[in-house]
Amino acid sequence: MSAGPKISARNVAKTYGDMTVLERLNLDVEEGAFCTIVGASGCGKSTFLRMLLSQETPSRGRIELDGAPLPGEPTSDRGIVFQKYSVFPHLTVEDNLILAREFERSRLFGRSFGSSRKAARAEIDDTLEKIGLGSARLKYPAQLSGGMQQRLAIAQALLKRPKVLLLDEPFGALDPGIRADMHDLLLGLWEELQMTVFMVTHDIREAFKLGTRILVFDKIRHDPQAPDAYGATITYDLPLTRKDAGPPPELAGLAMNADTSTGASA
Amino acid sequence: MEFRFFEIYRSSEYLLLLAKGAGVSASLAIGGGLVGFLLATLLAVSRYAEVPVLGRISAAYVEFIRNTPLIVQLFFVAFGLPLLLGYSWPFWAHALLALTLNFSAYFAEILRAGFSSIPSGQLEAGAALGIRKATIFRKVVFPQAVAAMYPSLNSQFIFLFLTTGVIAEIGVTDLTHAGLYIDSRTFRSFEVFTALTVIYIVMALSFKAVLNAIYRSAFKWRTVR
Repeated sequence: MSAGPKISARNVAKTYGDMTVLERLNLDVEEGAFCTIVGASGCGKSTFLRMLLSQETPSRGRIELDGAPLPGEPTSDRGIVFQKYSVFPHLTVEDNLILAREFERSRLFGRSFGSSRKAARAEIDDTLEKIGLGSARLKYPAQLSGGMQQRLAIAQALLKRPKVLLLDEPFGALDPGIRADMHDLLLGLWEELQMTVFMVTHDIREAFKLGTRILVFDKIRHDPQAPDAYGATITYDLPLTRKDAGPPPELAGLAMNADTSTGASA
Repeated sequence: MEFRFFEIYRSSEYLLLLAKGAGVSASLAIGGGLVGFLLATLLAVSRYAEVPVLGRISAAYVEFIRNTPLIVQLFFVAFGLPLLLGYSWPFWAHALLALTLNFSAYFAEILRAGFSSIPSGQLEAGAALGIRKATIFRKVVFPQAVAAMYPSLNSQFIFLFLTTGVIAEIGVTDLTHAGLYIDSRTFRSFEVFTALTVIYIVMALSFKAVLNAIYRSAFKWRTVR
């Protein structure tokens, strides 16, 4: 493990045709940080996560993981949880996790036999217990509540033992009460597994509650003649202590905006 | 006018003929359906995956079959192709080939729609887990697409089953053939075609019941709540 930052971004920009989504993005994140990412809809937060996952590549600049350029495709060191569609509806909880292990199988063995299968099963048992789905292993996602489905999605991501966990509004569709439970679960896993976490959220209280660092994405350069010419970038990058009761005054206005903004984020 | 159901069907000869015909119709429909489904899967996959050349060929094939009458396809397979390729099969084999080709085009179009109906988020979720594309298709897209399109495949199959009557035209002793034969002997058209209608209805409903039972057990995840 290098002594440098876990993740670093240097002058990263992402454009789609003439439209600039992100620009001038610079960031160093230490291992074990819990970065929460907030900002208005469509300002590139999810795009940034997808770049961290290698599902998108930066148009300019570069992103490094442990001092080396990011691999060209998703690898086992990074896991992601989306707001929805992460779990496979036609598979039981157990089979969802078995499929998530296809990754290793296809790369290492082709197929798992005997003892490795037994080990896989033990690992799945372990993960199910840890995530609180032990009693639901033979159920289908449709039989689970929204919170349970997201637990399953997290379990899927964790099976790869990622060092970096990416969360794209994972609790956006959940009730507030369930959300609090999920926060506890997530913080427990973060501490136990020593992961570096990036979490996009529209809930500013959530961002302050969970994060050790908050990144605010915003579009600050505007050209009225060419609305797509400039993209968003990181406008605030604040360390947080968990004792923070809420957003500092300079972010209060933004908090209001972010709290009420809904809909898909780019 | 007097009806003579009893007089006609008292004869075990005619009853046997109808039963055999029903068996032939059912077997050819099931055979054509199964092989047609396999062929349809290949056709639909090559289009969905945009395989070069093969995808185009499959698109052209599907259009060709869906825009020509079954009876013409049947005659082509039974009388046209044998002259060209010099094969001579039993009638039922010609019928099976023609039905398979016909079924496959209709099924392929339904499957292709099913593949595209799977939300892209499912593909992304698979890719994010690092699963290979072919595996994502096999384990995520295909089963969900078949489940989503099952009702369409189901009713398409019933519809195609009901059109298999035309194979009587090339001498296959199917149910329609049996009916036509009995009619030609007895001239009791009303009684004969009433019986035929009833048998076809019972068979179609039976197919439907079996297919629905398969759906409930194979795609439990769509029915559990």
